[in-house]
Amino acid sequence: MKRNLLIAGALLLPIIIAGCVLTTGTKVFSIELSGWTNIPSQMQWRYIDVADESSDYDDNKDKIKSVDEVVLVGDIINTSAGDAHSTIYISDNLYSTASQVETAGNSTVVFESPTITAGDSLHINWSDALAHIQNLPELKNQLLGDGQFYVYSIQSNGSSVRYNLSMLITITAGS
Amino acid sequence: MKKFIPVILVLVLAGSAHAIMDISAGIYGGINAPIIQENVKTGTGFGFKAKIAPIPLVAGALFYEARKFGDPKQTVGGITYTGKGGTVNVFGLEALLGSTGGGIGPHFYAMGGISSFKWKRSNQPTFSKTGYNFGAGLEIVLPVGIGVEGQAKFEMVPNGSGASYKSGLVFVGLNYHLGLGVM
Repeated sequence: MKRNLLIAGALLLPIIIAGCVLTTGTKVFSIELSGWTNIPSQMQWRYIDVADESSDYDDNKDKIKSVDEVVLVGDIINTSAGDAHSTIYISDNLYSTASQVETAGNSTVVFESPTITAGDSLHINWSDALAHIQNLPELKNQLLGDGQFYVYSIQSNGSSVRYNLSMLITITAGS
Repeated sequence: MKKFIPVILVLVLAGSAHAIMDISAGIYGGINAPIIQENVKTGTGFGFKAKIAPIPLVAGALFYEARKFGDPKQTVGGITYTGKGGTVNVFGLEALLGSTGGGIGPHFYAMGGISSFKWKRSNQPTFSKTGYNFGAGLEIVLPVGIGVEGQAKFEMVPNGSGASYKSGLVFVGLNYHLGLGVM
């Protein structure tokens, strides 16, 4: 009997050593990226405070162990007469022109669309969303930090697009 | 009630009383259910294992499982988006304690194991970590050397950041007992 207890204890030891990680869970929540501010000539921006926009994030922000995935889903609609291409950046700072945003070191590219032909739209489902994401570690770091940042979208010259995008965020949190 | 306990014990241990060593191989399949994990849904899985019980109370098993998670869904602004659950390959080792011999009759046991856990999803690097599991099983060995077995396991895979992915696994399967040493 004593030997059996010792063996059972040995089997459970790795789980205990692993850090009592039994009380964590993985959550998925979303932020609708509506209400963009339009700036003439190809740029739009939006401020995000994730805690303000998601009660799930607000409830768990002090207990986040890891940000597992961040993607953009939804539609990008090309409303112009020619082909369009969209790039989305994040930054801690507010800029008023596309060239400021695009200046190296001012922001980080997090999304790049393929070319969207005139009048067409790009639909991004969750299953293929990660293929469009760039610099995922920086995006995750924004959520592990204060969760407050600016999002900029810059379209190719002469084009205009409309966004119906949401951000899906997967976190693992717990005590 | 107490008077039935010896009878139950005799039934449970009847199989191991007939065997001094047992080797078996089997296949199994069942359900792979994530626990507190919203980024995947319940899926299915199947596996193979080889077990050796040098004495009736202790056994070791090598196993391989191919599983998949169900695709998760998230509704935002009235639109439902579907993600990918992905596939999981697990290769591991388990220790079994209890009635682990291959004699005819029911065998109830507890088990714990360690495994190499690889989770593959499209557009993502493979998540490869060490997993741990524990649970219980019941095998009923028939006179022809075939055992019908059910297992329930709790699996936990630490993700390296102080958290873990957890799953509940329920499998049923068939084992063939070579019957070495069966008396």
